Amino acid sequence: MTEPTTDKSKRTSESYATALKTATSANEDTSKRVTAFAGVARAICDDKEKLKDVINVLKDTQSPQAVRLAALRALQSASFSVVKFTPCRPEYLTALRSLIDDPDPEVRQRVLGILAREQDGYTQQRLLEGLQQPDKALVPPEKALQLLSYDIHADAYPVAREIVRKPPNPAAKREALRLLAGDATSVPTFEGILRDKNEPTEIRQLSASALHSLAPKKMQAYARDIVLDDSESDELKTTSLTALTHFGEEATVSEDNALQKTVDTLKDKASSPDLKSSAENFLKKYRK
Amino acid sequence: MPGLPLDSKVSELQFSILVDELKTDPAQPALLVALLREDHPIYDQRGTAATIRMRGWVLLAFERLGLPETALLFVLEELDNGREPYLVAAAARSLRSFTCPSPAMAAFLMRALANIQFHDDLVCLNRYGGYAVSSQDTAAPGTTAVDELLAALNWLGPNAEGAAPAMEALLADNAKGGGALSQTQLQELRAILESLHGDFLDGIEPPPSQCCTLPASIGALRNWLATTWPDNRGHKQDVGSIIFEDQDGEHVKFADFFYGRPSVVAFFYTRCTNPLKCSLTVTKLARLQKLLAERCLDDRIRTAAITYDPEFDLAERLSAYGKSRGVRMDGDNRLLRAVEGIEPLRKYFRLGVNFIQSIVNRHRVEVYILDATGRVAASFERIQWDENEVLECAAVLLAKDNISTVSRSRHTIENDNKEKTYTAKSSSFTAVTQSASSARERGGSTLRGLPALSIFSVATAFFPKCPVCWAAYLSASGIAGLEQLPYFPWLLPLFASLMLINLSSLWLQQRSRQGSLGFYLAALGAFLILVCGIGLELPYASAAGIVLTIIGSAISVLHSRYSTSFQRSQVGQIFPGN
Repeated sequence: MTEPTTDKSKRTSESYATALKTATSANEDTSKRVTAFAGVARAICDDKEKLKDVINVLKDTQSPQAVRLAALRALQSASFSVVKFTPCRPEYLTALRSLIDDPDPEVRQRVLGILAREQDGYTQQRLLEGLQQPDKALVPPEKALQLLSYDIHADAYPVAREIVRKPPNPAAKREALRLLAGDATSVPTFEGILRDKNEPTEIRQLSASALHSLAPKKMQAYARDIVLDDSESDELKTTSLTALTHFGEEATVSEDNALQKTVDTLKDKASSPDLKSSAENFLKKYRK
Repeated sequence: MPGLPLDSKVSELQFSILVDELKTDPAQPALLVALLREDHPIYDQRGTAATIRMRGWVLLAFERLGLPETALLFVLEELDNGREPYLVAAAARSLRSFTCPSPAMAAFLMRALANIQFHDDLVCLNRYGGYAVSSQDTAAPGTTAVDELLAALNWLGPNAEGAAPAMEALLADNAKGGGALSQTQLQELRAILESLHGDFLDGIEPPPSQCCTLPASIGALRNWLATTWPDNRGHKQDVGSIIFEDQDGEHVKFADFFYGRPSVVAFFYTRCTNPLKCSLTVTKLARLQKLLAERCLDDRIRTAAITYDPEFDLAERLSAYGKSRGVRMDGDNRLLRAVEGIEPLRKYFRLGVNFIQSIVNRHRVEVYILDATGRVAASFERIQWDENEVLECAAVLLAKDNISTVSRSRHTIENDNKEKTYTAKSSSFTAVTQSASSARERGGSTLRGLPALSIFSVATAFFPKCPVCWAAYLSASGIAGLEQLPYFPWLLPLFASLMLINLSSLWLQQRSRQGSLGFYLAALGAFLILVCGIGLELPYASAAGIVLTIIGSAISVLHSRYSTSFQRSQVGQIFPGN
């Protein structure tokens, strides 16, 4: 720690100390504490004692939720000063791990989010355990899948495939598909969903995007069929046209008269503004 | 656990028990070392986090058993390019169980400090998994990767002397607010430095020389031009038909790209999250390409980067990845994906990689040099490779291939013309001597001017293109020390100019007499040498050019002699007594 050498820095240091004292004092009013936490981020890593005080507030299950979340926000803000915060990082991450089982779901979810973005192995292990054994779940399955998607190496693909096959709820299936968008072996799954008109549009759109990323040539063929199919939704046609516009084989698409004619009609007569716009972009690129 | 099959079906619990048993058995270090290979079946279909936990536990087993030499490279690898705090901490701790601290280790420890200081974490090395969930847990006290690295520097003692400047720089950086060490860690670092300075002032020297360098086994794992490349790497016929797609979507076979010239091959994948591995490897490949161009070797040595993840790394991704790292991409320099999958290449190269489904769970840094037959001639594995080192290695391989080509030319000429024997190493002198002897046998007259015609053609044809080849040629001449002669690149244009001057003189000569066969043969010879041999590098063109030049020169000189004699006889007949 560098001792303040000027009056101004001394006054700043004192004001931080005062704010920190207010924030960490259990006797103070909740709103005062929350406000005080907003101004202490820069001082948290000045010494180990200050860091410990803030972490203790975060870990204190008896403290009001608002105060605990304010302490967490202060720590997160402090972590943006990478160089200054780095010595505090090991203790910070360890404290967060200890809160994975916190009884407050909001605190638990926030902490899991931070750790998942750090690609923490322990967090991934616990989230996967929760998906495989629902009685050990820390968060709803769709949230767990969302958090696991931050790291493609998180070993989440097998459980995601299982959830697509037997989804506990529609949101979980959606997140599982989003996660699988990085899995090249899931191409047949996405093809099947795209072909199935009984699937919700959102899911089919997701599948189209994933297929476009994993197997763009296959997506070109599907995209064409979708655009030509009057029974398909505007949203799906928009996604398909976008894929064709940006990644279509120019020689093939330019000579596709049926496609050109259909897109021309969509440009003039589609009710969706997004679809009209996609059609215009398509024709700008491919019109002969 | 007797009889436990070491494959992907083993649970982590079973694995940890197995390692705990092995670490109590001093006769089993080889089994433990084998578990450090990424391609071990036990890591197949494991997630990255599981692989980290397992490898860390193996590294820590050596703390009790003592780190054998055969495991040292894996430890140094982790220090050199690891980014996981648990593994780096485990590596630093297991290093301290090596019997022979060496000054060479200090550089690795400092590099690890630079790599990990902004990504450190509290880890628990006494428990499988290594996760610290409480800093107050007395049963499983935590440590950090930086703490373990500092402890290893302390363990090195006087052997860390070479790292003193780097330590001082780190302290200075922290003083300016740019470092990431805690106050406690900074105090520790100061104490290490003071101890080193104290040793210096007390006249304490580092330990004896056998400990000053890394063990020889480390070098053996990074061997160049291995003449004993393990046969289980596979034979070229297994991979020749592999089809690649490059960054432009073009298809090319392994045989078509990698045969015919030496090549440098790196492995990578675009979703690698360790910037010290794939991203740095490909960036260094780009730098190597520039060095090759500076040495005029870029048209003689190919480069390629092959992805571990061919299903995901499609052409557009390869192209974008290469562009953002300054990689040159053209017919001889490509980013490739194996269209039918990575397995055949994995076997051929014995790649240090494993997968969960198609996702890489862990891989090592690996770069290979292939010879002109596509055979692996050198490897650079685990530790960061140096572009200049790889370049020199590839250049030496190229020179060896060139000498083989020249020897093949000699053999062909011998078959074509048994009266003339030319040897590549002293072609200019031998050819001249032999040609002169032949001429004496045929006509009994002295072929004045023939050496002047021949020598520059031969010198031009055989002039080496670079210093490495120059040294190779001169060393092949068998005269001790000759290869030390400096390379003179200006000699080639000089020889070529003199050759053309002689050609011009031949042309002037043929104008003054009948018959220009000699000139045309010599001119054709010059064309073959300069254009076909040096310019287009067509095989045997230079040799054929030499032959034609000598024949043409001989004919021209003989014709000149005959014409002069005939004219004199004609004059004698017309003017008797002259």
